[in-house]
Amino acid sequence: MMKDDYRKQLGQIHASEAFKADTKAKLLLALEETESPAEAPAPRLWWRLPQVRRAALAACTLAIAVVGWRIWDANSALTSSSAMTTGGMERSLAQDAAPAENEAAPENTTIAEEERLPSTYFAQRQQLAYSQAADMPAGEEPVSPSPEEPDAGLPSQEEPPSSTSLMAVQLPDASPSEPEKPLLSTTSSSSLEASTPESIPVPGKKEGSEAVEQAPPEEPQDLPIAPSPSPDLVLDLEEPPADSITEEDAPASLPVFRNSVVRGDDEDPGTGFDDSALAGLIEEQAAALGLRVNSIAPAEDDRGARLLTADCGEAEIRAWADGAIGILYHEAVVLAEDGATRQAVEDPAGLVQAYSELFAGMQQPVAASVTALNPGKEQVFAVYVYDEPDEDNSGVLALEKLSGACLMLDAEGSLTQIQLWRGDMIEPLGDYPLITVDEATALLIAGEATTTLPCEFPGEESIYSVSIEYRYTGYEEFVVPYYRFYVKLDVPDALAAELDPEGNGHDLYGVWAVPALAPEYLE
Amino acid sequence: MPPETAQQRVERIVETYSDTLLRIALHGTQNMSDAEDMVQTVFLKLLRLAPEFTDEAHEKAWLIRVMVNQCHDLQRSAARKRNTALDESLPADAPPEPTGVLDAVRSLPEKYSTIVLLYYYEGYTTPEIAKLLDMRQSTVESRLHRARAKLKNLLKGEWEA
Repeated sequence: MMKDDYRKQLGQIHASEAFKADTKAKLLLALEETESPAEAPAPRLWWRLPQVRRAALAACTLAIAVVGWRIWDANSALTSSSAMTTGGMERSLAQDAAPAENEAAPENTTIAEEERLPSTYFAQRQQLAYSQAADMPAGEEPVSPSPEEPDAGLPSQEEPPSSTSLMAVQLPDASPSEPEKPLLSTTSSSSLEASTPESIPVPGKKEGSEAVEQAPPEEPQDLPIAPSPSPDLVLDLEEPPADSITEEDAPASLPVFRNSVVRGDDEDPGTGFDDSALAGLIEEQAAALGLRVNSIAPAEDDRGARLLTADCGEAEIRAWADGAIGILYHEAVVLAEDGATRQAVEDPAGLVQAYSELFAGMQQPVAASVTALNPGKEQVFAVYVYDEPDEDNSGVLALEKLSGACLMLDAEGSLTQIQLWRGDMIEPLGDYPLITVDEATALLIAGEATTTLPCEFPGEESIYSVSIEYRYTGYEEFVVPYYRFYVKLDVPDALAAELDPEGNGHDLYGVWAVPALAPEYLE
Repeated sequence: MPPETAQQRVERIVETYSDTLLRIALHGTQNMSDAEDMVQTVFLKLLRLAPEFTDEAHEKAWLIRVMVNQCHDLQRSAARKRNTALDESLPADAPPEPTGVLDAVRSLPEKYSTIVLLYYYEGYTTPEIAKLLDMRQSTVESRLHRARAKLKNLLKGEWEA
């Protein structure tokens, strides 16, 4: 019925006679201006179109895959940590999606590695990141393994973000009109001097090797904005990322955010929820899922971040100091009895509705994207859920996308994990001037970029697309935009086999990230 | 394709394909003026590039594909320029704004709405759409499925599969 209505309504749309007449006149005029239009050379462009489109389509698919890798990465981390390994989840604020989903972050491991090392994945990846960073040329970003998903939850009454309000008053609005004013001097909130203009330390601005050693809190400037843990490798970009930009389209400035809840690590207790508040969060999420909390125990993740883990019988719930929640089902939850659980993948809106209580903090939770992960192997699916952003506030500026959730489904569509993170305690510091795409490209060529791939940047001609994203894993105090370069890789067979172990002949794309803030704002 | 003069060709393509291309364009933009510009641009490309077609179906497929690409470009451009003021110009003889299901389809992301149009209105099969848009059939089917799901949601379940 509705389809008939659609056809009927669409059939009522006709080009007007005036338009047709105008078009004919313009076309004839154009033909007259062309010497011998009929003999126009065989259109090379036309023959190239298939390739062009193929490449474009491939790029877009890869954008989705990229987001997928991030989730998969976080998933791996969550799954892996018997002792609370935290997987990092980077949030790309780029479309996403197009639903895009809009967006992937730096990675240091290959797909194969991730799969082979489920239990020690995060730790090994972290080590690999460090070792790779040590080999990086000057200027490359050290890779910091990211932790998990930040998450959802309620603000803690006991531990309100300490210096938040102060920062909001004194540092907001470093608008482009006052670019000479640098931002912040230190990476730790406790050391912030609101009255002292300083720059934001960003890994990409530092010499890679020294910077990475154990993400030392003594040298906070080295790892404040950690590159995300998600893979920098993307297979078969089907379409260019929906948020791809060009020199002309790149924004002149974007907001920088400060995260008032930081997870901390071995040497930094971080700021955020205390154990009492975390226990409350756990109880809350357990209740939303109909789970009963049997016991709660303190633990820490691989980076030494404090968290609580709760035994809920059929599931384990983990809560980090920044309010991130991970729910890991010991056995996948079948969402439909008819065996058609793939329906959850095909119709994620139903999934969101079924778990609506989890998203109580969102005004309008929507399944922004469904990403098939693990290509070439047994697939898993990640359903990204975000608070529906206003149309005018979608894309890279959508702070809402710093809050969200990810539901992980196995190949049958059964629920295996839920990850929740929150962005409501991330406050904007104001808009900051950005470097241009060309400037970022120059930095990339000069080696001032981050990647976790074990290969050199192949050259400017291999750049496939550029987009802007925020990188946020829950450990960063400052959330800043990065230029994200998708680069077509032409790697030796041995490396290709490592990156694409299934040998399915995928086109390989690597991701290099360059901090987008103007240099005067970066440490 | 039988030989024809330039004028005959212009006459034929405008009369034959304007409606089809305009409908596709209107799934890529909400603005009739933009849609008409896109149609003219596609026709111009056809004349300037003068590709050789085996038959009219081939020609139509080419035009649709170029139009879809135009829509992609417009979407991407729009995504990059969210702060750009909207062009509100509408020709005096613009058809009345459709409401209901058509609006729902047009409100979908362009990558979905175009496939819905090609499938439900133009009558292409998913393999044909895949070939037309140079994408995998599974991708087309997936997008079509998601489009249906979105439409069901938007139309409160009234869009049957």
